[in-house]
Amino acid sequence: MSSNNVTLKVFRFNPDKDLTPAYKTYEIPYEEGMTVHIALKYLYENVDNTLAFKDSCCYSLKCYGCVVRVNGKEVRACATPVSAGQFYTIDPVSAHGVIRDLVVHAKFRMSTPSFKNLYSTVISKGLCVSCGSCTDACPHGFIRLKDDRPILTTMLRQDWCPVGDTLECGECVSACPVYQAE
Amino acid sequence: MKQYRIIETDFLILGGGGAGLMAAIGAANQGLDVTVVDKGFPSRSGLTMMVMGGMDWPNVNDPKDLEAHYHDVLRHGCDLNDQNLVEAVGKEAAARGADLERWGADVLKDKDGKHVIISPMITGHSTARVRYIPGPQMMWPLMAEVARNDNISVMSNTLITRLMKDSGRVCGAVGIDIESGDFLVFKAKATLLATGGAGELWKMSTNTPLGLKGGATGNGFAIAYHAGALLIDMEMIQFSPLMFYPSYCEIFGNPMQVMDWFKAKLLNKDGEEVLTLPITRDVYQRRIFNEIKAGKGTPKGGLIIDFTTSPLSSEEMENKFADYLGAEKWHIIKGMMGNKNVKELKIEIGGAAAHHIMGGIRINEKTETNVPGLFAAGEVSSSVHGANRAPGQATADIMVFGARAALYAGPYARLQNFSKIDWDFVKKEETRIKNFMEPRADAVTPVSVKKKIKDIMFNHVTVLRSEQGLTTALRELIEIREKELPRMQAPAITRFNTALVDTIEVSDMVDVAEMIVRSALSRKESRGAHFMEDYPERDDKNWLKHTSVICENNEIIIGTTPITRRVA
Repeated sequence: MSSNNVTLKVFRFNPDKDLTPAYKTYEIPYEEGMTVHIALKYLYENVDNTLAFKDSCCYSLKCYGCVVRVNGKEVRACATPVSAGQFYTIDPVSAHGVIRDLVVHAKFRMSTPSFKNLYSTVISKGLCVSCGSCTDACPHGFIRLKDDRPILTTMLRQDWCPVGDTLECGECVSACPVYQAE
Repeated sequence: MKQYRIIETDFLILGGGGAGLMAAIGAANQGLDVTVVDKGFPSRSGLTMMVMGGMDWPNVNDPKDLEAHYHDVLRHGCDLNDQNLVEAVGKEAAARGADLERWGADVLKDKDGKHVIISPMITGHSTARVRYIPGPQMMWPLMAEVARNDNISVMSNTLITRLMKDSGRVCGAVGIDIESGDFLVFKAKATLLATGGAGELWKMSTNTPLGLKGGATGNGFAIAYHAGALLIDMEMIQFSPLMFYPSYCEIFGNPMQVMDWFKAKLLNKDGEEVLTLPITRDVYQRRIFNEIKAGKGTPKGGLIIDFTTSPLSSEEMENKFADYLGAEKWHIIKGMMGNKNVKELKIEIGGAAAHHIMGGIRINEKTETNVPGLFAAGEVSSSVHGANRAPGQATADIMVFGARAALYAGPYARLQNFSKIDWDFVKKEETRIKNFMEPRADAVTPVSVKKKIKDIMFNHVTVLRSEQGLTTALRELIEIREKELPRMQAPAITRFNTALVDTIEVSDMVDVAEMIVRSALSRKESRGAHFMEDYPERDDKNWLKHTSVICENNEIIIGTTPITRRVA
């Protein structure tokens, strides 16, 4: 492995053809300012155009369309820099069904509980134990602890999570020990 | 052979950006069955999400403010605007802003709960009207409102390739479901194009600063053109200086706004100041372009925004950035730029990045096009902005005309019946798409063709245009159409075939690029964003009219058409 290259081990799976997913390893030249998203785009354009991934970018670090698992951690591909000489394993976000390779289903699902349920059932009633489970669980980094209470860091109201209230998520709710007990 | 999936809907909306969702909500509230089709996922693709600035939102109770808005937009647009449309934007922007706020948008407010008016004068507004409402604050509330409404179904990852017609009326569309690869046939009583612009035709674009997709490949222009719609002023493209170095600084947004906020200076490589604010968009654009062209740019080919003379301290600057971008985003960007002291930050800006396309499908104040059953709103439509878009108008435009589309297309749809499907047309379109996946020996990849188009447009069709350059561009585009388009090949995969999407996009991009170049060649004057070296003067005697593009027998026919004036 040359020190000027980045190695990507990418999850490949076509549910129409493959029984089990497989990994394919690619080595691509490093460029200044490269992120996981740019690396995947390079891969698609120059190495393997059968790769399926979410190409579009909002350039505002806000849309969470490019979320993938890098080395086991859910991150936004656009906000995750890669370094020369490093090795990265790239998986789709595991909670959702895979369409192909790194692309997963995203559907409107209003029925799942979201931060607003957490807010009304736990936080506003003073039942929060400040364990931080929800802050760790949020795949979008929206939740922070402020004065030992979880708050939404988005600019919107506290009872309205931009992702959880429109798309499938609910990670914060399933992580909360108090909510599960209530 | 695979079966077709047939989808019936009262109101078919192509594009899930601001205009599309606004129209969906309006029409669904009228009780129509609405289908929104987006080639990505609404709020996770498209350009509304990328909006950094604000919305021009005149105070409706103040006739002076409205009049100032009207004259500002007309002055920017060099009188090429449809005056009725401009008036509509001015009068209704505040109501649409209030809608967004009611649905949960957080417009920047001061301590007293009043809207903060952001730097209004820098780019030539005569009164202070622009409210700060970034893209997510428009898209998230719209998304939530859409999700609450049972009458709206959203089909994400669905690419419409052509509109279907029945005896002169648009009666539906054909496309592919990218997720499954199925071929789709839509039957619709009314169809709205809200597909946005075509910034991705250029190598450097504020729509795709890092080369990742924003989604603006101009498919909407191409499918409207093939359906026989009249497009006007396609040569009017707004370019904006793009902050390109260090990577990610483009997230800061409009360079002029950043300069104004931090009282920073714009310097060339010799340390001379290039321009002072205030200044209108097309003028500063040309000045920056000329400076770089004269060889006074940095080795990377840009000019430098210098913060060292800023009267603000580093802490104040950091706070301002954090306020503007959000603390978390600022933290990420700072990390990406190596955690330097902000005062030492030297941002380089490049000459000409495509920003907004003023031209497009001709609409009237009811968002009707010349084709019955087809409506258009947002960047894909035209004439609100004329020859040059004033700041804050794009967001006002999409919101106002998105809502208007619902208001006028809804009653139209209720009076229509579903038409029969034209199976010959559907089969022909399916063959066209399937052909892209046929293996061939002399294949070229769609990505390589896309790059060529981007280079041609970037080299010849930007801020300073000449007949010679445009003719060269046209020749090269025709060469691509004849030699490379038939050879494009995507891998034969049904599920989520990214390369097939690229191929379909490229076949449309060539059409759009050719429309732009031919329109630019036909306008023999300089006006607003269109600056011809051969005809440097504005010529109101001969050219106070729109250039027009229409499809006749599969050929681009260029003409002119008069401007709609306000009835005084």
